Amino acid sequence: MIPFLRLKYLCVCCIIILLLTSSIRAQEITIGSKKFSESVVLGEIIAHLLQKNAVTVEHKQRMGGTIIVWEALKNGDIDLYPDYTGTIRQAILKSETDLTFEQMQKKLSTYGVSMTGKLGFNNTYAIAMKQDKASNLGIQRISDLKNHPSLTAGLTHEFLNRQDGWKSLSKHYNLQMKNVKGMAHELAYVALRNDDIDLMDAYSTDAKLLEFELTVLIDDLEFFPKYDAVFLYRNDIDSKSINIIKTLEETIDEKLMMQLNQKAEKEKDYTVAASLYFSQIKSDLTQESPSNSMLTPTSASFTSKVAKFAFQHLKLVLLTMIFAVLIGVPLGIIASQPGIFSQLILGITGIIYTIPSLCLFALFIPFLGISEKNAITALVLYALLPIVHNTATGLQTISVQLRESAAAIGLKPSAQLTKIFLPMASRTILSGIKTSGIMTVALGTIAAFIGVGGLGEPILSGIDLNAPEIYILQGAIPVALLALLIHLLFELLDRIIIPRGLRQSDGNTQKRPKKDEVEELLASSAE
Amino acid sequence: MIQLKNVSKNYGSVVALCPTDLSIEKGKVTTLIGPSGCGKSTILRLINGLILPTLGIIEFEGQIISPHNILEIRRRTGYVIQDGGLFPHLTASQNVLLMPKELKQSQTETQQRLEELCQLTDFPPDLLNNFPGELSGGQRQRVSLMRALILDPDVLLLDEPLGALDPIVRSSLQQELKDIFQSLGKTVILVTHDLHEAAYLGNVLVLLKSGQVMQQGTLEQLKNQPADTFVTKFITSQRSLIEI
Repeated sequence: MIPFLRLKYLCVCCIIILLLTSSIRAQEITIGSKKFSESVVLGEIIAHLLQKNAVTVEHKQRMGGTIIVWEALKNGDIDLYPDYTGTIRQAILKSETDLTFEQMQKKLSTYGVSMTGKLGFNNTYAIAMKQDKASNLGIQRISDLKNHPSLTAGLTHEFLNRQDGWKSLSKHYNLQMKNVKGMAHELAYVALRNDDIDLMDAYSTDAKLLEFELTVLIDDLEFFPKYDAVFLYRNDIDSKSINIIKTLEETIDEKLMMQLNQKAEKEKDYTVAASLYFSQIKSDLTQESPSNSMLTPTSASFTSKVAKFAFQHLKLVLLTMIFAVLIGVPLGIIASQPGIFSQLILGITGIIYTIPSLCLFALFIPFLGISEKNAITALVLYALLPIVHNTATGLQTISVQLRESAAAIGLKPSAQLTKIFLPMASRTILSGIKTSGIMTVALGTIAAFIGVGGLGEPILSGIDLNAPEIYILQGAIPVALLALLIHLLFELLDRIIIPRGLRQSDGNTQKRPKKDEVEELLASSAE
Repeated sequence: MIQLKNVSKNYGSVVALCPTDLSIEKGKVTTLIGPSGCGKSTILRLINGLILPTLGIIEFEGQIISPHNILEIRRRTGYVIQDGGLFPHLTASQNVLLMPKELKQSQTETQQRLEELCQLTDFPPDLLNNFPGELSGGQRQRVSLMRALILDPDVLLLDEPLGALDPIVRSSLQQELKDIFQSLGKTVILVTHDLHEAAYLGNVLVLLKSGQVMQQGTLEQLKNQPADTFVTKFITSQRSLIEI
């Protein structure tokens, strides 16, 4: 019983620590950004600008596509994020017709949201190809693609599905492309370079357009609308912050944005790219050397970065596991009894397990927003199956004789469960919790897609920046180490919690007779 | 002490016990004997409330056994099964002291009682901290007996307590059990398929066949006034053993 008491105290302590750490947070402005470099760089610029003006900020980087970030803004999970007028008009306001700046402001105000003036650059969609391939095939304009329907297009999932995306473009230009693949934006560049695809969608300020010497096809039938960059912000944030955000208006032109994007990709660091913005603005005004005005990165050292991500990840895993155990073990107890409930519980937890993880995260956005709550809910649901299954199996495999013994000596049903059955099944249950824990460490990386942070964040940033040293050193290796740590922790728990009697061979099996007993038996048979 | 009145037990269409009247006398050792599947363990499990009768009632000192009073009755009966039924995650002493602890009985008193029981069952006290897996078959049965006796019950129910032991240990434990029964003077119901054991340990024998009581009485009565040919056949088949 004592080890179980210890475990109970351990759980209570964990909950208290987590509650304390989550409550010690000052009032702050939360910035969101979409899952591509430019958005993150703009987010970093505004984060530093607000910080310089003594506003506490949190930047939820790379939260996802437009809808995810927009929903987060509407729900108050974030206070502002950068977007583009074309996207706002079509993907958010769902307007078929062109809208003036004022019309858009008016429509946005119904959601309690406002838009800053233009930041100064137009980042419209573009269709890009390798220069040599385009010239060999004689393709200069999007219209020319009509003559090459067998080319392979590698497009972002967002561009494939948005109203002003691929479908409308194909209709507008009457394209009949047969091979269209959905892929992550940054991976499409690699695919294009390796000739795995022939054309891709790009943003007109992409640094890689320069780097890879790509040809941007002329939008000869003027399909793509203007995509002027702006910040969307909630009206309920303080006026001081709003004024600070507005100082960014008309300060970034296409050239500067392309440079910032290039810097982010070259330095593999969004903070460094943001610092370039401040040095450029300052040098324009004072002609100072840019190197003298570098920003102090928010998380400069490698160790502190990894520690921050690891702490976020560990917190996510720990909270998930606490809830998963609190829900999973009782469900497993119910599922161990024969009947319809058992089938129902095991069936439902099994079905949940088969839902693709990203879908499950997205499923809760309308109810829980873009938040830790959402990530934990999804992770808890995934973590349930091994715990429920192992609890049920552990209890079901207790022999009828021992079940009857527990009842026959006069224990109440509740005491039979807590004093006999659960401790006897503890090894199987703990093994289920361990499986769930390790699985949650791995699955937790997906939570970065909805901006919850953790070790998934450097993995996504690293892929985005094409920087294996980031996603391997800051993401993949710490995840593996964390999984190993969880494994070792459970080995330790196995020694503390599992009674010695269960770690030996089955307590019910007849012990091998001692040597003198055997001799005695042989002697009696001889007589 | 215990009365079965027209008690029967069916599992679907399978009859485990035909309507039976049986009276267990206080302070006597009653042995239920018969071939496998004759219903002897069923009677024990009915008395302990592990299963409910299909028909009829069971009285424990005039009180009808029901789900409402079964906990109290179980605490007044000690129960020992074939392989001991010890919980493998608890040490010998934890197994024995489980119920006193649950009932929040005084630790000093229960400790003293444990020492007495060690003496009574001839269990080495230095093995009390061993887990069941670290004990021999005979030692496990002694622990099981201690666990059954720890609350000083009025009735002892023993279901083939020596069934899984080798002949030497079994023979020595039979003698010890007889001594214990005599010294305690408790009401005992013992299930066995071994007539020699039944006659050696029991004052009253109840012979069952296919869920029916064939005859109840002393060994002499069963031998000299058999109720039918089955009784004679059963006794004859084991006579050589009895005569040893």
